[in-house]
Amino acid sequence: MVLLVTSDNEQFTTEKDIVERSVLIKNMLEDVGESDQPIPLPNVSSSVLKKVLEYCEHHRGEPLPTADSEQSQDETRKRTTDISEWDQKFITVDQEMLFEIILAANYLDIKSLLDVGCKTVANMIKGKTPEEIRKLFNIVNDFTPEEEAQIKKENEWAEDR
Amino acid sequence: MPSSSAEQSSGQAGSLVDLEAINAAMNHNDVVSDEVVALARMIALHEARQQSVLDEEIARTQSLLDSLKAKHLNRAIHINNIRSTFAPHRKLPNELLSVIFRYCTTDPIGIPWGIKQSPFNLTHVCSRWRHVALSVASLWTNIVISTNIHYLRSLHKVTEMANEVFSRRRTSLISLDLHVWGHGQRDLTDYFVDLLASNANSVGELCLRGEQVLLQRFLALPPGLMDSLHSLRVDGKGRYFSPFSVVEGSRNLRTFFCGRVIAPKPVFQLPLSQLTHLYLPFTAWSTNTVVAMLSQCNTLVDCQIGYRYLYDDDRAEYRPSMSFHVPALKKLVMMDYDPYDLGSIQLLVLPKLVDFEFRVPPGHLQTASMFVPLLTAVIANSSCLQTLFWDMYVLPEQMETMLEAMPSIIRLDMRRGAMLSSPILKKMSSGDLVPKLSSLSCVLETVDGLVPLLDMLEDRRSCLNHAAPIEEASLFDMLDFYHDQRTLPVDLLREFVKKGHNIKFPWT
Repeated sequence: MVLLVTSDNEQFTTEKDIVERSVLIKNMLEDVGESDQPIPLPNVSSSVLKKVLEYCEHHRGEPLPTADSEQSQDETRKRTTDISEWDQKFITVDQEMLFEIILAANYLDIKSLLDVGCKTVANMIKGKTPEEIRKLFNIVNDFTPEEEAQIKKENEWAEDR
Repeated sequence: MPSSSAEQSSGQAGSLVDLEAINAAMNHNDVVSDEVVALARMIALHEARQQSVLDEEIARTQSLLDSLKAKHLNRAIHINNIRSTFAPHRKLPNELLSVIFRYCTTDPIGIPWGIKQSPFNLTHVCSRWRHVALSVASLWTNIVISTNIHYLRSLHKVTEMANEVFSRRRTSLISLDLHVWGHGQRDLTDYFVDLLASNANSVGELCLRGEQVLLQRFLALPPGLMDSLHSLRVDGKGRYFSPFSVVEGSRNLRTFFCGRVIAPKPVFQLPLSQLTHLYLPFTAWSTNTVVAMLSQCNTLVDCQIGYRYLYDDDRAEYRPSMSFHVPALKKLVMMDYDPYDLGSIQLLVLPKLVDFEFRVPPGHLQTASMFVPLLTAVIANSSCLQTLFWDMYVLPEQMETMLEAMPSIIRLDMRRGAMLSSPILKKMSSGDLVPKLSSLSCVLETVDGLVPLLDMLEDRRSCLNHAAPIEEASLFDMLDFYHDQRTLPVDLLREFVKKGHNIKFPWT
């Protein structure tokens, strides 16, 4: 069993094969060896870690992606935004939690969870106009006059074709 | 109702009797006295003044309401701006934002219509997103230019947009699908050839489709111009006689596709020895020329070639060399449009061939007498063959020879030819033939032939002879023998499916 301590000082005891989906924790455990020492996770809150562990537990035993497979996927342009049914249900959370999960997955180095999070945000963006995207994520339109002029010009490309 | 309003307005205006007269007059259209008219005028004037006071009051209230609404809106914008400072997306570093952007742009950028799609719309959200999207070169490397010259009113906008996208690729190579159709003026075609020529070093992968004039002009560009090109697909209605000078000596070219090739010379001028993928679905060549070309392809892994001897090439010039080895070839699809010319195909030696398809297009149905078992030699020379798709008529004894020549076969798909005979099926049951086979598609011509076939599947499933079980079997009725379903032993088939056999038989 592995003891994890979150940023808000909550302790989580979990099985090694679950938590080792995190490359960060896996490497830490390999470096430290057999030890009862708790692993501090200063960048992850308890509510987020709870979700992350739920994901890891569901996907325990599945093969971890290799660097080669990631590269080949990128090269062959086969990046799809398909998400499995369970993952979709899992990631149906409010925006704040969604981005926290992405950050935690990135920090803990859980590639598959990071992908699920990023794909979910990408799916939220796809098919929307810039104005709709701003509204969705509460983004301020802060373009400089030069940028505005360039964007206007770009929009004209599609007209009168 | 009229009486009450008149009473309310009475004040000093008149006596109760007068008011009653006015109220009465409001309910009919008869002639009224001058006194009543005079009094009514006074009351109307008074009421109008009162109304003006109310109007002023309304205007004041409206102004106050507008002012409050404006304040409310400003406050809402301010709250939104304040909230935006801690909006969840702002926690994401640029690296993660760029990962999300890559997932947003799974489709190629369409020019000129794609301005409203990713990645362009990502650059139109805010300054930071624009900066991040412009810094991720891979978002800008997959482009489709598809346009009809007839309807294109503003060519310069297309090229301006294309050049802008090319500039955003930074050092990455672009994959470009250029599809221009419609007969336009000569200079319109030149416009696109110029676009390619001016961005020649940016393009790694090019698919060129459309009218022959465009394709010919592109292919005639000088050698060495597109040195970054590693994949070229030329696909149009035309037939190509002229040289593919643009890829002559291309150091990086690995994949080449051309829809219809007539003269062999342009292909022989390609850097054949460095190609890994070569697709020529129709050539007007003899098999000698095909084999001569293949024997120069030392690194070829995947090849598709169709041939029909139409072009009067100099057979002596394209005679295969002494070596018929294609050492790296793993997948070969041959489409034989010429039943009389198998020529030197038999001499091919393909030591690494895993996947072989031999197709005879519909309308070129061959009879057994035409089959010369020359291709058996190809199969026999390819000891690692695992998948065979065979679409040519063969006699049972020829089929047995073929099966004997492929001990490693796993998937066998024989769309034409005689049924697997009882002696063949017996050998398959015992594992003397095709012991590793796990997927079988074959022809069924008689009811009597079904039982031994099912017995073979059952024997293989029981693993009595260490032969692999056939995991899936598909039966074809090419001669429409089972058009009358009453002749089908459906119950027998169902019984086998119930036992767990995976058997597909489309005529049911």
